[in-house]
Amino acid sequence: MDSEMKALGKTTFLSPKLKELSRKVRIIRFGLVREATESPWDKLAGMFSTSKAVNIEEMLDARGFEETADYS
Amino acid sequence: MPEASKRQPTILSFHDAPPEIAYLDPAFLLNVLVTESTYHADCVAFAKRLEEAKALLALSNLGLDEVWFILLRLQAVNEHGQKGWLSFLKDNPSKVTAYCQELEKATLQILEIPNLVLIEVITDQSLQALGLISKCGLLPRDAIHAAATLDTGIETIITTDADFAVVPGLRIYTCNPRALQHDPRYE
Repeated sequence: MDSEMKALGKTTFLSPKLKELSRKVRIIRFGLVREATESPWDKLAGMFSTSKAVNIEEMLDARGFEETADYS
Repeated sequence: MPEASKRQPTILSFHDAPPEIAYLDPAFLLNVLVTESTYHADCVAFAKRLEEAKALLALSNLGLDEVWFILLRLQAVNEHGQKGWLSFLKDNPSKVTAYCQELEKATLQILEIPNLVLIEVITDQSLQALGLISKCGLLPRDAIHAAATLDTGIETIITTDADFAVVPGLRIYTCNPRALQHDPRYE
C-alpha cells in the first residue's frame, strides 16, 4: 500500500481514506498522473458525439434485456 | 451489509458541497463523455467541482465494462443505425476491433482523472446485491454498484440514475430530477 501511496503522490489528505478503502476492496489501479496543461475532465468531456440525443440511463438499464428484442 | 444500510437514503444535488470520497456510477462518466447525453452539461460542471475539491473517486471494474459497452453501442448505431446494432456488432468483430481504439482513448483519459482509483467488485458484494434486488427492486447491475458502495464503506455514489434513490444507507449525488424528488428540499 505504501508504494501505491507514493504512486498517487504526496497528498496527505487522501492517504487515510485510501488506507481505509483498501481494507475493504482490492484497489487495482490508481489514476495515471501526468503533467497536463489541461484537466483530464476537460479532455474527457464530449469525447463522443452522436447524431441525436441519447439517454444513457435507459441504455444502461436495457443492457442485457434488449438482446432478445434485437434478435427477434 | 453494513449498519448504514438501515438508514434512509440521502439525496444530494450537484449544487451541494462535493463529497470527500464517492463511488462513480458509470452513467455519470458516460454523461460527461457523450455530448448529446441528457445530463452532459450538469455532469461536466460537477466533474470540475469534484476536481477542485480533490474528491477521491472509486470506479469499479464493472463500471469500466459498462462504459465500454455503451461506447461500442454508440459507434455501432452511428454507423449502422438503431435497429439491429447488436447483431451488427456480433456479426462484424472487425468493427468491434476498429471501435476499440476509441474505447482505449476514453479509458486512458478516465485513468488520468485526478484521485481516481479502480476497485474490484468482489463476489461477496455481488451476492449482497441479490438482497437489494429483492428489497428495493433494483436491476442486477445497479444492485451490484449499490452493494459495492455500501460494503466498501464509501456509502456515497455519484449517479444520474434515479433508481438508486430508494436504496437505504446510500448518499446519492445526482442531477436527475426524478431522484431529487426524493429530497424534501426539492419537493
